Amino acid sequence: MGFDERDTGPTRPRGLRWGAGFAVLVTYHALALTASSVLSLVVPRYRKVVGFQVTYLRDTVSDVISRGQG
Amino acid sequence: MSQDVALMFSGGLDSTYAAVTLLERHSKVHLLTYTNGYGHYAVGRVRRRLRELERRFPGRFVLQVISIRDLFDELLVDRLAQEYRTWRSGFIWCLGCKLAMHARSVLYCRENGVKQMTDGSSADTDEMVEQMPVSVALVRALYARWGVAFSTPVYDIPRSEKRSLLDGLGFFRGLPLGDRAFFIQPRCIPGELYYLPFVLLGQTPRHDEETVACFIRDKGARLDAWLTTRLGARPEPELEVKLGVR
Repeated sequence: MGFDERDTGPTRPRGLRWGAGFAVLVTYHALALTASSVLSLVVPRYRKVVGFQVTYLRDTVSDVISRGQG
Repeated sequence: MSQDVALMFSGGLDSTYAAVTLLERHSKVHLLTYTNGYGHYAVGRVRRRLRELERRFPGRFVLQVISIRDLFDELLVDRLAQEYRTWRSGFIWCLGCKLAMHARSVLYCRENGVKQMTDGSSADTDEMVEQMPVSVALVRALYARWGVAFSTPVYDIPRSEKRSLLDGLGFFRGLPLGDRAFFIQPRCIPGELYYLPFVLLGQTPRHDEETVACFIRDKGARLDAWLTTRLGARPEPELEVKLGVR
């Protein structure tokens, strides 16, 4: 499970395309974190993952930027 | 026709192709779909795929949708922060989930007298941690310790061949968009988050063979203990693990 079917491997984008990809990445993380935070108010087990998601978002952004474009 | 076989099933191209081709050698295929309770959604898509399969091959499939939440919690989520500090990569979520699925499949096979387990792992997507050759080999060893044979029958089949067969049978292809097709199989938000830098930016995922092997061996011991409790039996001693997908 995960992403639906993909035919080919991705290429490494540069410039504006990289920026757009990065924006999508951060937005998706932020939306997932928001969803988990809201869910954790009513579904206790989600409390176990919210703190991890914050750390993971920080590490992912840091890693993606350090690896840079192309 | 030989005995029943079980297949880990998402309804995507690989597992649907595997389901169809396993019918050549097995009279019945048990399709096993798992949810872990954290961001798995659109699981109903597997039922749509089952209906497609049933129309073409009536009476040959059994679908089980099974929750692995408790096992996944026990294996990983209850100590998530600590595990992340140890392994330092998000692969632990995907691989922990998949290992829980495999252990639950061992239990299913043992309880239902199924001797052969399969999945739709593919060389085309071996950037995915659970489909790396080392992962497949160590997972096969887990099954072997419990007397179940595990194989990946479509690993080396090109996607074009899989698509050709399913198109010929008239299966739903999803919505094509760029090099992707959507709305085919269930989604996993945490898994998508982990692979997003790869998909969007072409950055290879943060897992290497050695770390992955250590993680599987570490969790394998816990899974053996879980299965021992459930089955009231003990695993067979592990023979030398031959790395590779077959």
